[in-house]
Amino acid sequence: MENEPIFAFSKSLQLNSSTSDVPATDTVMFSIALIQNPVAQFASARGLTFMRPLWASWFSSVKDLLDFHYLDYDTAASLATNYSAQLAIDAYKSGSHDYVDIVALTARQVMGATVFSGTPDDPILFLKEISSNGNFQTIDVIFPSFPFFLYTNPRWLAYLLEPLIEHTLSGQYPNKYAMHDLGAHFPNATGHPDGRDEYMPVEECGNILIMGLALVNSLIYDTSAAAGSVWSNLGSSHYDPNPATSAFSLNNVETRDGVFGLDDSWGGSTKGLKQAKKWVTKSYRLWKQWTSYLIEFSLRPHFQLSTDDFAGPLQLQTNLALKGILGIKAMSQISETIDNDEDVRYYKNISETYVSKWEEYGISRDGSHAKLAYDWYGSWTTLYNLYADTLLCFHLEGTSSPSKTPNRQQKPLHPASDNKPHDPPTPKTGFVPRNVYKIQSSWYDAVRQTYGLPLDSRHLYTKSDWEFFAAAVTSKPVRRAILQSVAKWVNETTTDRPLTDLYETEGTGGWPGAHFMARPVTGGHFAFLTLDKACGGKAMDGLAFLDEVEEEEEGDIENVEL
Amino acid sequence: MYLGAQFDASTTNFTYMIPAPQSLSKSPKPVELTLSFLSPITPTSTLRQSIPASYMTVHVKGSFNINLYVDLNGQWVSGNRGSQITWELAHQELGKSDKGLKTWQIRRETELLLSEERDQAEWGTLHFTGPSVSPTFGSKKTPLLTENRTYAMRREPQVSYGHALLERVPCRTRLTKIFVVLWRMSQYLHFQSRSN
Repeated sequence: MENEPIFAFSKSLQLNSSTSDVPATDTVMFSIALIQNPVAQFASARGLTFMRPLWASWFSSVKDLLDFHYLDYDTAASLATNYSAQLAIDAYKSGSHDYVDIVALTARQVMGATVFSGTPDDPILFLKEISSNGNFQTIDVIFPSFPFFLYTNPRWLAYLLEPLIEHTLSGQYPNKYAMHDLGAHFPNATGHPDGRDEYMPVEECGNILIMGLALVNSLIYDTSAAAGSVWSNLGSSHYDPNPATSAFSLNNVETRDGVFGLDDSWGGSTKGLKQAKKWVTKSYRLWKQWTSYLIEFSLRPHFQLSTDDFAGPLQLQTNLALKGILGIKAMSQISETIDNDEDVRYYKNISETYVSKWEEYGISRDGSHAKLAYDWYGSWTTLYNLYADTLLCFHLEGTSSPSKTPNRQQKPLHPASDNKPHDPPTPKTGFVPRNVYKIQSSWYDAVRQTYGLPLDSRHLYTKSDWEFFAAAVTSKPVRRAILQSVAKWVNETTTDRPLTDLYETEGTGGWPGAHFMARPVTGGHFAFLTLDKACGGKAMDGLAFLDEVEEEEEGDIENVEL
Repeated sequence: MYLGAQFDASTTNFTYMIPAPQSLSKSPKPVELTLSFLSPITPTSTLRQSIPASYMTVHVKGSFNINLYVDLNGQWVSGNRGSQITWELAHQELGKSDKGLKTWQIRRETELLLSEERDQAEWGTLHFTGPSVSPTFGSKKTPLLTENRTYAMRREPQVSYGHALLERVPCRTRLTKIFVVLWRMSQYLHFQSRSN
């Protein structure tokens, strides 16, 4: 473009030295910043507010900010290297060299869709649904990304949920179910006072409840090895009891080992439970409200969209119902945080009744796989919502591994009383039956394509985020095979933008119509890593049954008669 | 000549070889040039994570001089190529040393607050900062540059040796998709080098 202005620097790099055998080196560094103020507008509790960037609470001018940033290069690079190095170690253990590369590519893509706002008293992380429709703070977009946040910094997940909770608590959203998003067009979080946001009621209630419990769990660990994130226990364990500030405020930014500007610790044995109680107490009525929607509507979901809205609405979706039921079960443990024993019992009983009905409704006649919808007998689905059963440690119940770390042990439950609608089934191992894990693992091996595991029997396209969620809870060979096909896709796909999450599993691995790109949902690629650290590090042990070799019944084969 | 790329969660490096100009008598080995883009992920520092800025470092290793030229254009501040933009060049001194920073500050002439075009923000200021050894302008800002001044920057002969133009990044190598992303970013960054 000949007629456009450009903004340049030139620098002479002097390498010409008289002692010329040893090559000289030189370096020059530039910084590139996009400064916006305000960053968004948000229908907060006090009304529509222009939101400043969070950095403005620490730097009084742009000049101060950029001078700091420029001179901080060595420290920033060293902190970044610490993360990258740890990520590479964990990802290699969790997968392969390919997995190391995939998660390394993903991390920046997730953060690239976010912007920090709010204040240290009440920090907020805003998120945009890039390329799919520009919606603001979409719950079913945060959900697939949450494994990245649980692994990297659960604090940022809390900041993502904060504006949704604040807005809903303020009464500005009229529906009983959780909202789809805070605004149709980022950066305008003007809400949906008419309640007509994208209709995914079971999806969003299920998502936010699962994330809520995951967040509570991330706070409660005794040793640093049991923490969900490697960096959680670094820093001061001082607890801020002020009810007017966030349970996760940033008023305690500290200097450690000469490094300025570090967060205090996240949860842990001294303050984790206190933070969890403070957080849950403030919004408890919302969690109950969303759960009551699920109790009424999740077992047999009516005609509605799931998060995979490009596939269109469908009634009685098996995977969606499972999400809702796991949400109800999650509520039981959220209630436990504030010692509400009656709610603990109530939600546990309902969820257990529902999950056994769900198994009846959702599994195919021949018992080999989960159907896409209860009433679609020839269909199948990638049951990616099974991931939450393991992540939230439900699968460890009734086993010798404690499902919770010491200061969150399950308390003994009172027997069911007469006015309960259903008697809970007899105690068993886990929540979702192990058989479901086994049949799905085999099924995925049977139906996977060149570039991965299709989303369901309707199309050959898939979602990379859901592939990782699903593969995380399969047997080792199946998990490896799915990972390899995704890695193959990354190398061979004709898509040429920041990683799409929606792609064809055959052909050129291209876009199936919609051009998704640069979306933060790719945080789901971290699903393996997050599971490795879940349940005090015991989550994967609870899946060992998937790799146990069953004894062959040799007699049957020999008795075949002609 | 493009040698390849490597990356981790926060950094992507592209490495090139710039062959020696034939005018040099000793025919030294090519200079190795690495462009390193760092967008830090710092889980222990929300303060740093909240800063909307990243770093681009150029490393060279060799034995003949290289002149580096880097530019950005207005596509960082508007999704619409027809937008009018405005800019200034600011100098900051850093403490008492003779070191300073120079920053190009570019924004849409009329910012469209909280609006986007094609998924891109129409408000906000781009700050492109480089080091300044002797700030000849003191602390005063230079007057707004005009279109002609832009052409003045290009007046010098475009002798280019070993174009390290990122357009030449091949797309078939392993896990190169993120490089294509950075390639698209690099449409706004043109590298040429000229040796003495």
